Amino acid sequence: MAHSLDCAAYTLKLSDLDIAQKADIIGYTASASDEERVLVQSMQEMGLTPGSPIEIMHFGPFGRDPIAVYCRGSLIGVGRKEAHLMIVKARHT
Amino acid sequence: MSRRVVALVGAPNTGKSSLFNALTGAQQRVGNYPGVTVEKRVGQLQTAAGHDLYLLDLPGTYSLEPQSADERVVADILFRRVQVPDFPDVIIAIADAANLERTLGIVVSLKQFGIPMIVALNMHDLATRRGLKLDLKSLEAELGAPVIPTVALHRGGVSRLLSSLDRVLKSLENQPTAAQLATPPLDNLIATPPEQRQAEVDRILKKVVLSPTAVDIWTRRLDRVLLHPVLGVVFLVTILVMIFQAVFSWARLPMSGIEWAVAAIGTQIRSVMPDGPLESFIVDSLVGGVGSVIVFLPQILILFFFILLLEGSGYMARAAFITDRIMGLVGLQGRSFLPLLSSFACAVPGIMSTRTIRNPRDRLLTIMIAPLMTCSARLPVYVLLIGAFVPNIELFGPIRLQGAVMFGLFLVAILSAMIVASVMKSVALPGTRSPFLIDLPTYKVPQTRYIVINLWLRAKAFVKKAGTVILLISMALWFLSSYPTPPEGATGPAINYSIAGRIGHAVEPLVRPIGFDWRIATGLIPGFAAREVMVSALGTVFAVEDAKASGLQLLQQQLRSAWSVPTGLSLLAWYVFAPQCMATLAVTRRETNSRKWTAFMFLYMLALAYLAAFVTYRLATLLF
Repeated sequence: MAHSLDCAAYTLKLSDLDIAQKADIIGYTASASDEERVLVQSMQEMGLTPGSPIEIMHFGPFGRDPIAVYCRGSLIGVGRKEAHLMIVKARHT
Repeated sequence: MSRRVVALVGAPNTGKSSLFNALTGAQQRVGNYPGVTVEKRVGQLQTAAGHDLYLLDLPGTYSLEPQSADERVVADILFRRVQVPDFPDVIIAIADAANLERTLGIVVSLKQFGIPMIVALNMHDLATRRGLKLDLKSLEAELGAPVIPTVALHRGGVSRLLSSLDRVLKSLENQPTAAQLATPPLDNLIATPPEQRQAEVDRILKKVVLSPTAVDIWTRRLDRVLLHPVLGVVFLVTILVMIFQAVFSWARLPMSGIEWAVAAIGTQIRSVMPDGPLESFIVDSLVGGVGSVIVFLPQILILFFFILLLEGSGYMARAAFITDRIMGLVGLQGRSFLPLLSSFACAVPGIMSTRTIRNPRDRLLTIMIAPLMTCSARLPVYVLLIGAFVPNIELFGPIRLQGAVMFGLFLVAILSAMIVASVMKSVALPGTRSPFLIDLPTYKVPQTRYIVINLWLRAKAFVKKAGTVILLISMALWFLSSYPTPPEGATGPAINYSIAGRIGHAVEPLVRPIGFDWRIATGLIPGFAAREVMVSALGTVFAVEDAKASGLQLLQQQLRSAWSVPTGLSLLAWYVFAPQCMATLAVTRRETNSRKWTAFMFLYMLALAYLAAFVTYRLATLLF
């Protein structure tokens, strides 16, 4: 079960964040397919659960893809396409 | 009393395999689970109290809702959906102490099965050094299981783990084993949804963590360079060039040692045995056949040494991170990069190392194109044919035509692999690009013990293969090339009269459009054993003794006078693609667990070889 939110205030996606930016995971977009549902589940299992604070650490060398996210004590590589599924709220520091 | 089964369960990168090695040592077997290509590791051990048990290393998994074949194996065994004699009596659940938020989830979800459990809190030393303080007593209470801090890398905590295991096993005495109890699948149990489970983990951690783990400073520092968009790529390329170089140069000495030993054994047998078919059978088929495959063992071990080093240090996931986007262009993914690179040395270890690719479709695609990489066995053939048919004229400066042709053959192989991958992805294995999601673990100093044990297992598997499947094929090919023997008073080499010779004559019309004569067709038959065998096979057909050493120039002269330039170039093009390697086909059969895909590999490569030879022959005929 992914958090499905369409609220305009939270339209920022993981893929919209820049390097060194900090954010909180709000939820995931409604899954359009079984494949997406499974993917969202894997992302949650790796610790990217709603409510977790994240920080963008690195980008891949080509097309800034994939994205290395620091979350819950570990570094996780997420493809840019996959990053579109995650809804975040940026932290303004 | 039959043996109890103890299963190791835990998330990936928790040091589960290290713990398994620490518990069992080299007393382990690597196999596959029935019907799937998931590696199954089983070890045996006896505890201090005298309990004999099987230790089962289940694949790493974050949850019991499986997404990969690996994870399905774990869920199927725990939910008893399969009939295997592997139902665990006791579970050793392993969590990474430095990463409890992410690795405790699977431990929590194991509680529901009611199987006696012991929790190994691994990498406890690292976590403590990074500031972690835990209330172990209340963690034990929460998990309902003894919690033992371990440092599997240095066998720390292993004896405590074993004595805890003894206590559990003692309580199970006089009870039937889990495998003996015929319980139905546990359909009434369901895996906890990830959010709920994470909430449970967070609740437990809030209670038991007295002081949290700080960020690993060294991992941050290293990643600033190794994942840098420019420096990271430079580092990766440097590492790869070094590995490539080492595979070729370090292996040279042991390889010639093995070649020398094989030749010496052959000579020795020849000197003590009377001449005749039995002598030829033993020397050419048994010793020669196995020798031609064993000779690749040094390259395979050197390559695996580096792979294990990269994996053990935590860099491998970074290499996948850096290359994912480029590999994506041809429908592959970051994890395909290393297997394909390895295949430049030899496709056999390349295909074996595709096990790290979790998506079955991507793995199959990588296996299918791996043999297109220019492996080292093609080099002797290239050297022979380029030397015979390509003039060694200067192009510009130090660059000569022969070298340029060699380079071109590598380039053509890479380009065609990219095309084949794209086509196969869209036709045979359709689907969207597989998602990229990877754990980038904390850097560690790789553990010697882990590397040594794994190299030993790889070497054993490879030698076993050479001693069974490859031996059988080599015997069959020898028979084809030796029987029937030539009639009395016959002239010319004996192979002309054999079944292989007859097949050569019979298929000549088929290969005439690509410029091959019956002699090439005949040489191709023993050449199916391994590519470099073609050199000595042609030597046999042209009755040139010892084609490898001083005979090379003589053979090149003979080839030049027997064949036209277009024929020579056509054979060269054939060798870029031809599936002439039984070791590759045997390992593909084992790794894909599918005759259909093995046959597909053979046929598509054969078709490409024919097409390439045909085009080359026609173009060359027009030009020369």
